[in-house]
Amino acid sequence: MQILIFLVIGWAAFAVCTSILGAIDRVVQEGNER
Amino acid sequence: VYDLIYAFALLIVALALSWPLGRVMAAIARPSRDQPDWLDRAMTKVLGPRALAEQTWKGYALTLLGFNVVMFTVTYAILIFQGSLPLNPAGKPGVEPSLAFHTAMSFATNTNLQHYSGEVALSYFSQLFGLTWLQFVSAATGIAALAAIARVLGPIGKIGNFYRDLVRFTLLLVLLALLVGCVLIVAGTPMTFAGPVELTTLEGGQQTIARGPVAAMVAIKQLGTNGGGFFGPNSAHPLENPSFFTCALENLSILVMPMASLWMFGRLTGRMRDAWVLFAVMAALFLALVIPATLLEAQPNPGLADLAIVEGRGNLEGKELRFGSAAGPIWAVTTTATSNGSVAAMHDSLNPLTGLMPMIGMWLNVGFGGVGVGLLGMLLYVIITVFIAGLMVGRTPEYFGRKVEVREMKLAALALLLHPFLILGGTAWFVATHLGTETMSNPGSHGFSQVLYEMSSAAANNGSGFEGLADNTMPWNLVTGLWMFLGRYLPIILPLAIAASLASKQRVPESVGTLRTDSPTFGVMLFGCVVLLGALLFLPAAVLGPIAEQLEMSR
Repeated sequence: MQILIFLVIGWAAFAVCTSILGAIDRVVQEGNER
Repeated sequence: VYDLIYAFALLIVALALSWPLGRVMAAIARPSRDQPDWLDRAMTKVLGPRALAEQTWKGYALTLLGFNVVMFTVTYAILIFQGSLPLNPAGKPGVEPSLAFHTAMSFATNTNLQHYSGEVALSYFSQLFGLTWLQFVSAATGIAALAAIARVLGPIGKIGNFYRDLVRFTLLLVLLALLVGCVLIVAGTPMTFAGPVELTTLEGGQQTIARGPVAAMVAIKQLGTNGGGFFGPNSAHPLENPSFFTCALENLSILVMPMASLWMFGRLTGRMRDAWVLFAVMAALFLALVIPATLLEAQPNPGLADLAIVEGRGNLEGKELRFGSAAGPIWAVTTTATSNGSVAAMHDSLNPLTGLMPMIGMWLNVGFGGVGVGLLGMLLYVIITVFIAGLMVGRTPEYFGRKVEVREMKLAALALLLHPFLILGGTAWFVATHLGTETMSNPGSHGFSQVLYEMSSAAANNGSGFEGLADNTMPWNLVTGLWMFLGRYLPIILPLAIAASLASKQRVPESVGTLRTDSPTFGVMLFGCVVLLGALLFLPAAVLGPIAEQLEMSR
């Protein structure tokens, strides 16, 4: 069970980072459009 | 004096070696001109025609993250199931999940913070195909990110392709590591798949001597500024670092790639003068730590001053005398200023103020920094300095002929503030609760320093430790694992976004009002900016830890 929990924590960290990347991309895109 | 000459010699030889290497790295990172070269043709054949297609910054960053998820997952699985995998002559069982999580994250992020002793906990398979593999590809990931930024900001004007960069830089690292590894083998570092040796000592006792494929790991741990050693004591262990010669070679290997990254950046952007200014600032920061560390460690430990022992060679506790007494502090600064994290002396035993120097190295993280990522960190400081300088002269700040505006500043500030947030927030959390206090081996200010050092090491992706800390616990593994993650990927993604944002703007023609970033004046401003920001952020923590300890001992 613990094996899965820590694997999921690692994946979740990457998933959060990917969504932050999306947010940063929107900031950059909005700046370009302006 | 000889110790300082040794430190200067290391810097100069590293500079001489890094120059041609930077030229090679720039050639590797450049897109093929007319015809794809043999490597591009081979990659297209194996991976398909779309594998080397040009990417957007977001595509590049996503591919980088995607590859890193795979790196993490594969290594985690190898560590968990090592008991059933081959190359395990000593029959090591699988690694406990929180430690496996921490170790996989640690090596994927180029940190190599180790909460285990390699010779006790890991099989040869885990060491080679879990960890050493990551030491190559995580270092290549850092260089790739820098190459992408240099390409998009410079005359090439394109981000490039992550897989192309990854494969090319990994191959370069393999060649370099092969060279250094062979020299290490000749110098006495073991490289074998045979199990530990059982022998009878002269006193008649039984001793088990661990060995294994050590030279392979030591070569890349230094070249890739990874730092994770085969044995628990790292490069203080006589089989990882047998003599003064190997010590100098390994210390040199730590410095070469971060320096070469600078020259690659200068060549790809067509701005070698900028690269020289950055080199001067980084070298000044490096020397500003090495010189005091060497001088401070030449003093005996005040706590031992009344004992009837000769202390003429300075503080010898925790040192390996086969390297000479100053190799410890010089290595301590080299390894932390460059985000390497291997150790050749016990950092916990350094005099308090000497111990502060490696901490400063990790707080600033740009005294050459890690391969590729050190310069990414410095570029964030450059953006901040350009902005401050712009405010001072009342003009719109510019970098690479593009206006630095609100969104670049927001992203740069976010990336820079993350670092102290992780270090200071994490330290405050752990020293205020039993999570940290129960794991310290010293009370008071030295215990505080232990926690502060560990958090700094994780956030700066360094990997060294004060080592007095009992850090293989679930909370430490989880928190420093996540800190390494945040301290790695956001400072890669944010500069990529900033560079893409800058590159999408119109070039502003240079005029007399433009603040040149390739002048000594800018270098001085940049140096001041790094030091001032560092001092403002971290001085209070330094006072509570190493400075308080020094004052207590000198009373």
